[in-house]
Amino acid sequence: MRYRTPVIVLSDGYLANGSEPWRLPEVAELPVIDPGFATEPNGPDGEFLPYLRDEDTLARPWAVPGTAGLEHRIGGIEKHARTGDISYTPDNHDLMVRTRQAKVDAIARDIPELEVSDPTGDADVLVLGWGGTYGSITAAVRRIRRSGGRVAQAHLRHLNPFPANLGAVLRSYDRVVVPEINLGQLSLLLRGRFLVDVIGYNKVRGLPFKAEELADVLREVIDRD
Amino acid sequence: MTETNGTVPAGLRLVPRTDTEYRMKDFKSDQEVRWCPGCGDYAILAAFQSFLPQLGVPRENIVMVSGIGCSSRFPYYLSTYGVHSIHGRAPAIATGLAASRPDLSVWVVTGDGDGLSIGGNHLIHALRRNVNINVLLFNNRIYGLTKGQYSPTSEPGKITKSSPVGSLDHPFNPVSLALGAEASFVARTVDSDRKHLTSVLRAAADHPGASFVEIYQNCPIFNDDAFEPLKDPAARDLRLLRLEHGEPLRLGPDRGVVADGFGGLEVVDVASVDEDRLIRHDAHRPDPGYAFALSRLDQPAFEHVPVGVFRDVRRPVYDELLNQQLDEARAERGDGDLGALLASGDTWTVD
Ligand code: SF4
Repeated sequence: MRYRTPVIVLSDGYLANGSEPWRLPEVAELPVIDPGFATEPNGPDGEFLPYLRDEDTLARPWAVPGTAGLEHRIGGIEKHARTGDISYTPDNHDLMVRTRQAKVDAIARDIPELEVSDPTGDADVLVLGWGGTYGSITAAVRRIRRSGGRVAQAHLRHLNPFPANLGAVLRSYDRVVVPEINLGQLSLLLRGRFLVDVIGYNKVRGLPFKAEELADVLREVIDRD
Repeated sequence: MTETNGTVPAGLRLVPRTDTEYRMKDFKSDQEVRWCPGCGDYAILAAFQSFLPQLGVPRENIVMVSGIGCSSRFPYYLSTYGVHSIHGRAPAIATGLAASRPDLSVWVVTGDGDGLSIGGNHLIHALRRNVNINVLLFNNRIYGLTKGQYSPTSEPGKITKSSPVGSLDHPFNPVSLALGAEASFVARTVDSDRKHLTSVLRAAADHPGASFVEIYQNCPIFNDDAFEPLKDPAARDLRLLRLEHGEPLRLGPDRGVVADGFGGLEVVDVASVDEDRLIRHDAHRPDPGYAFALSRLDQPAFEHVPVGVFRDVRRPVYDELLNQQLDEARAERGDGDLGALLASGDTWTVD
């Protein structure tokens, strides 16, 4: 709501079909959702500029029907960056595409940094996951550590934008393993964004990874010279 | 069956009134209109802009919702609130808006492609639910924006870019479709007849619940003269069956409409029948059968085309029912308690 952007929550079949105890939130402690609708003109001449963005968040003002003086039109055709008029100007389109990207990128300020679990502090290998593989990866990491191996683990909760420290985390390990139940979608993004040659482990059998299977993969990577 | 409460039309009774004396120019936006020269959309836009002041509704309480297509650029050219929304989904967005904001006059602008192809389902469900919205379907019988492919209302055999040896599709009759979906208000009008168009818009706005208006619209670029038989001044009056509630159904001086004995209607020479066998138009019949039979009179093509209000009946309006249901549930059970709801299942406390 603060950034006026749709958010896509990637869920997981196992979340839908599984069950585990869950702490219910205290409703009173949930943050209040305040859309902060525009009620006054925001332009210098008393006009309403529906595409004039908040300097900080780059979010546009929202005025709802019924608000006199703020009547405006929105829609899929490119709009002028300030007035919201239909605009076919190449430079304006370039500016708008960059602005929309900058808005999403800046959300990284509001998401927590990626936390890494590296109990000995000197692991060479990082295993990085996202989504429903958390349980299998954590179980595999536990096995490695129990048998005296060293491995760092991190799990992404946000994919776009990524946490601000992700690049630094990736570069601080010799090797990064990315297990995914697809053909390497996160690996592709990490390589493209950070030029880090992550090692993918990919299977699409419609079943979760087994802890021992993943532990074997990690052991093999840890033992590489 | 428009009931008015004082001077307020039933369809607008929850919408605030204004004393502002609007003029047509107050509803023009400053955007450059980008339809092709001669497009029928210009005439519809001009008629709509000059009609809006009659509504007596504050400009900020009018919302135009469109999908995708030539017709769907309509909202940009009006100074009201507007959204050029998702292909075919304007009725769904308008349903949400009308249900949550009974104080708005909500208009959907769509076309034969947007409304009857990709949006066919959204359209019929909005009509059957009888949401308080007004749907204007500009029918040019062609895909204009994508440069001339056959649409769900193109005639069989039509040669287009996507049907080089003729379309095989049987077309929709939009009025029959709306009646089949049990729309409570169904009308047809023509882009070039401003007076008729305006009177139909007025009746649609006054109607509580979903109003469906098919507007025959000429696309001079990709389907020119599609409705020419209805525009030629000499032939027009012999072909247009102007529906007036309570008046006999007549086409020009010589022809009229009688029951065919099988629940349908047929056009006959008035001289061959008794004058009182001519059907008197009744837009308020609760059963849609008669209006449906009327809608089938447009065959053979353009021989006799009914225009005007086919059907205008009262039945419960979705958004009113919804808000009533919420109020009653609140009155009976009090305000909801989210915390209690969350804790109502299989929950326990860990100390
Ligand atoms: S393509 Fe046809 S319907 Fe579209 S703007 Fe041009 S004339 Fe009008």
